[in-house]
Amino acid sequence: MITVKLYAYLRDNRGKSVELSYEEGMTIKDVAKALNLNLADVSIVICDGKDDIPSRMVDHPVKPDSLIHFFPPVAGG
Amino acid sequence: MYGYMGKILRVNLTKRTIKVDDLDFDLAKKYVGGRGLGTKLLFDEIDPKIDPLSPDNKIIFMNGPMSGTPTPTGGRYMVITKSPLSGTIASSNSGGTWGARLKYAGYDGIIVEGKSEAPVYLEINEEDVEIKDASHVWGKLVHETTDILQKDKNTNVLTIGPGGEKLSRMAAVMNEKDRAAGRSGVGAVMGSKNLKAIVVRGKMKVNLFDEEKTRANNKEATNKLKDNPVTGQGLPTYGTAVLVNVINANGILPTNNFQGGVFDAADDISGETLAEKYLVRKDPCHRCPIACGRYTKTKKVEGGGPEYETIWAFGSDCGVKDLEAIIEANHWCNQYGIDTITAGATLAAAMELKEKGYLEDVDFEGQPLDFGNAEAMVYWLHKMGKREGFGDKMADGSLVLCKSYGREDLSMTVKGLEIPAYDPRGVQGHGLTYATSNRGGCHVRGYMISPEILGLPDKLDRMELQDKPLWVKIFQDLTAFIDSSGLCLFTSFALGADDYANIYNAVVGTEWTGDDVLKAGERIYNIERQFNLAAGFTASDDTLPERLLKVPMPEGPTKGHVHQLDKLLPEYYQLRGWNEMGIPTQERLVELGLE
Ligand code: SF4
Repeated sequence: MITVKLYAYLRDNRGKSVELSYEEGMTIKDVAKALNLNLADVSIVICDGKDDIPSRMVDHPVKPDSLIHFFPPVAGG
Repeated sequence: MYGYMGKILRVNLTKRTIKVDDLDFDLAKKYVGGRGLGTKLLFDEIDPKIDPLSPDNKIIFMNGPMSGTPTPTGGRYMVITKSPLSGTIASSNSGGTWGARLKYAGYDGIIVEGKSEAPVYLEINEEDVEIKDASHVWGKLVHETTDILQKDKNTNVLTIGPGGEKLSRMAAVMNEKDRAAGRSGVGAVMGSKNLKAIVVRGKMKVNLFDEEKTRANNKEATNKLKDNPVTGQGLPTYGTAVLVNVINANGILPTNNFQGGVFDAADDISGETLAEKYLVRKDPCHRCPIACGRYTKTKKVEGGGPEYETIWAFGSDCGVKDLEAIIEANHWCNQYGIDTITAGATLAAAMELKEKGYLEDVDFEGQPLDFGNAEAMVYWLHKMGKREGFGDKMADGSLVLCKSYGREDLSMTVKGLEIPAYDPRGVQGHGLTYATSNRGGCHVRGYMISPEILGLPDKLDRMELQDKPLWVKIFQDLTAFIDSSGLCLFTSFALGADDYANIYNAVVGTEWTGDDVLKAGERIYNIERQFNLAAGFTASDDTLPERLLKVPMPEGPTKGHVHQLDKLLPEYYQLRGWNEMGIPTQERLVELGLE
C-alpha cells in the first residue's frame, strides 16, 4: 500500500492520511490525481525521503510501499 | 528628519540622570536603526570585553525607522547589549506594540547605563521621564507586573520577570505580557541594573518623507502579504507551528537533545493540532496583516503562544508529546520571563545528562527528568524560573550545566546560545548560518530553511553544498537590514530587497536600491563581527556541536549525514571579505565605510 500524508488545509475533505493501492508505473502525478489534489496548491512533495517542488516531482516514480507527503505553502521561524 | 524621531533617551541608573541625545541622522541612515544602529552605539560606548552583568554594560532599546509608521508589521524593536549567555553581541527582537509606542512617545531608542541601588522602573510619558521605585512589583511575575503598571490604552509595558531579577542567563525582556525579546539573556542585563520595567505612554506621530508614496507602498506590501499563500494563509491559520510536520517529514526535527531527527508524535504537537484544539484567536503584533501570533487556552493556562520553536524545545527535544504540557511550559516561561528555546533545550540537555548517568546525586523530588516525562518537565521549569534546587543549576543555560558535569559536548549550542529547531545535518546552508551567526546558535540571522526546505523563493537541494555560502551571505545581509528597519522578518516570505528599498525611501527620504539595502545589511553584519572579535571570539568559535559534525544522523530521511561545515566555511569567509582567521580585511571594511 502507498501511504499519503496531507497537511494544513490540504487535509480538508481528505483527512490526514490516505492509503492507495499501487499500480504499475505510478508517478506522483497519478497519486495527486487519485486524491483530487491540484498540484498548484502543493508547495513541497516528499516521496520516500526525496523532497522537491511539485513541478520537479510529477514524474517521480512511486513504489508499492511509498510514503508520500504533500505540503501546501507553509513557513514560520 | 523623517522616519526617525531624532531623539534618544539616555538614562544613567547609577547617577539617576536622564538626558536626551540628538540622533545623528547620517549615522542613523548608515546603520538604519534597530539592530544596526544599536550595535554601533553600543560598540562605541562599551569595551566588548566587560562582564555583561556588571554596571559597565549598557542595554539599548532601539527602534527602526519603520516602527510606528503605517507600514505593515512596523512595530518591532531591538534590545542590544553584550549577552550574558554567550558573551557575544546580543540583539533580541520583539513585536507587540511597545516599540511603536516608544516612537509615539517621541524617541527612537533608550540607552540605559549603570546600576540602580534599589529596584526601579522607568516611566516615560512623552517629555516627562521619571525613574520610579519598583519595590511593589519586584519579585512579581510578568503578567501581574504588566497589569499593575499598565495605565491606559495609550500605555505599553516592557518588563522582566523573576528570571531577569535572579540574573538567569536565559532571561528575556517581555512586552505586552507575552511578546519576548527572548534570546541571549537580555533580561538578565536589566536585572543586573535593578531595572524592572519601562512603561511608555505617548500619542505623537512619526513624520514621513512622502506620505502618498508611503500609503501606496503600504497598500502594495499589504496586498503582496495577503496574496502570498504563506503570509496570507499558512501563517494566519496555523501560526509558526505549521512547520512541525514539514520539518519532521524531512527528518530534521531535533529529538531528545539532537540525538534523533524524527519524532513519531509530531502531528500531536503540530500547528494543525494547536489550531484544532487550543487556539482561541489570532494575536497579531502592531499593524500586522499576517497575524501569526496565537492566543491559546488549556484547562490550566491561557495566553500568547506557543511558537514553533517553543513547541519543538519542550516537545520533541524533550521527547514530550503532550501539547497541553508544552503550552503550559510556554506560559510559565513568559511569566518568569525566560527564553523558551534556551529553557527547553536546557531541560533536554539535563535529560540527556541523566540518561547517561551523570545526575545520580541529584534530588529530583519525585519528578525524574527523563525524556518524555511532561510532568517533570513543567515541574523543573518552575524550579528553573525560581532558581530553586537543581533548577538553579539549569537557570544559566545548557552550556553552564553540561560543563559542570564535564560534558560540554552535550550542550547543543554555538557560542553558548542554544541551537533552535532544525538539525543542521539535513540542511547544510542553515547549519552554516548557525555557525556564523553573530549571536551564536540562531535561526533568524539567515533563515535558510526557506530555500532549503520550504522552496522560498526557490527550492534548493538541502544537502547540496554548492552556492550555499553565497545564499547564506545574502540572507544574513538582508535579515540584518530588516531587523534594523523595524519590520518583521516574516515579511520577507513575500517581499524582496527592492520592496524594502521602496518602503525605506518613502519613509526616510533616501534613494536606495535593493543593492543599497543589502550593503547596509552587510555593514551591520560586519560591525557585529568586529564587536565579537574585540570581545575575544575567533574563527574557532564559528563551529557546531561535535555531535552534528561527527555523528551521522541515525534515522529518517537525513540518515547517515553529518554537517559539512569545513567544506562551506572557507568560501563563506572569502565571500564576506574575511581572511582565513575570519577577520574582515581592510579593503572590505573600507568598502563598507567601517574603516
Ligand atoms: S508576522 Fe507574526 S511575529 Fe511578525 S509582526 Fe506579524 S504577528 Fe508579529
